[in-house]
Amino acid sequence: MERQMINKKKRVFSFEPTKLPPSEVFTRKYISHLVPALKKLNMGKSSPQINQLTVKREVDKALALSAQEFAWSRFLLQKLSSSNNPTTTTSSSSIQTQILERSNDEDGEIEEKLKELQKLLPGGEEMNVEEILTEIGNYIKCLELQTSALKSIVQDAT
Amino acid sequence: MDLSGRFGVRSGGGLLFREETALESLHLGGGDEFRQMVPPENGGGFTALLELPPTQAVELLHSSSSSSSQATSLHTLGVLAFPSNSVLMERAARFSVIATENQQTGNVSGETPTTTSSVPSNEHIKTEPAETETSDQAAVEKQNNRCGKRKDFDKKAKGSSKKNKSSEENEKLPYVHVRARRGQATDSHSLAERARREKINARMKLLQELVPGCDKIQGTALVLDEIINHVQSLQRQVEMLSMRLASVNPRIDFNLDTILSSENGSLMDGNFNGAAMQLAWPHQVMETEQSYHHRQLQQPPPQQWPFDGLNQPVWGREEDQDHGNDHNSLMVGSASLHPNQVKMEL
Repeated sequence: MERQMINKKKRVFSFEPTKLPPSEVFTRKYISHLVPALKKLNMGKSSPQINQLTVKREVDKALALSAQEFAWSRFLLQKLSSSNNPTTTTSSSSIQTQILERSNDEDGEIEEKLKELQKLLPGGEEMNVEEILTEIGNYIKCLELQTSALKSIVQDAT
Repeated sequence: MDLSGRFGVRSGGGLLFREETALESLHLGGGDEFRQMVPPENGGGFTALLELPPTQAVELLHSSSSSSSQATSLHTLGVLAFPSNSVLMERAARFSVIATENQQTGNVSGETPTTTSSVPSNEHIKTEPAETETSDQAAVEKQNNRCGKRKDFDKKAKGSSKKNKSSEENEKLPYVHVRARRGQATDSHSLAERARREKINARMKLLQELVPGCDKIQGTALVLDEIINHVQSLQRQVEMLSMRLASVNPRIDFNLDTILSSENGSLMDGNFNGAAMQLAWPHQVMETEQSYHHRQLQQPPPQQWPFDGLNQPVWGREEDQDHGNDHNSLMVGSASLHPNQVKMEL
């Protein structure tokens, strides 16, 4: 019976994940994705050399898996799953058509910058301006969290 | 659905996990009072978020629910002096929602005292602006051609209170509506334009807050520059860290103690939900982890008791340790690695 109570309580709490600030949720998820993957990599390779590329991939994969609420994470996952194929950028004219309405000389610059931003963001080529701005915001945040998580892992290991 | 209407304001912390700055950070044209957008009362919830394609992102960012927000939102809207007659509610039902307010910041008390103070009932959000608002919004919601003309007319007929406001919101209207300022074109295209531009500007402001050092910068291009640099530097950092990780990896034994001790406390505020972790990996409770879990449980004061009740019986059968001792003996501030710990046993 106590067990049932415990189970019940467990069930209750499971429905309240929003109590955690999103940054914590992300960090936790990220670490929980990354560390086992690294461990597996560690075990799998008998040679001491672990491919940097592989690690980077795992790092990116953990990032994408931890942030699945965002559009860019889907694109990132796609990129990763098509693993070594370099993604050809679809027309960056997507930005051009969007910005065309605002274009005057000054905005031409802005247009270019937005194009660059598009390239930085995974999946940016397929988004319009508003989406890019939104996604860039949470992408930055997730990158920051990822950086600090990685720092702590690396610090811990050295 | 299109945006040919007023512009809805997103709560300030909109882009990033900044619930505490929800209200202060967003500015519109001169409409500082209108910091919130509330979901429609029709209970249909968010039919389509105009700004954020994934509704989960909104949930994530704002963590609000339409039903629970109504109490505070209506109060807020009373402040904003928006009418809420049945006609508008009908219209509201047809349109899509823009944004949500962040419930966790409580009410928008910062802004509420500005205009009307008492909004007792849910149905009448009123005062004189209400009547003019009604007619005005009626105009707005109709087709844009007619809307334009009426707006001009109403605009001039209105008091100066509306003169400086470039945008307004109505809780009942899920559409974003842009009110034409004096002397501005009011045809549908430019309205849509303006709505779009204002949305983009709002996003830019949020980004400015996010990226350090962007507040002082004037001009979109420079801000974008900063943002680009920031993203690039973050990506480089990640690359370098992953390189270091790769070089260090073979020697890592993923020792839980060391990971926990080095994890800095800012990552986790101690709000760790031990129960959630249990649920995720219920079969992985191990002794070493338990001690960490117990330590974690002590840290968040408000949430302590449920976890204690939860965890003790479960782990009690596996260890008879004195929970009190464990808490202080281990390093603090490393709640973030609970999933790590649990997963490590895989």
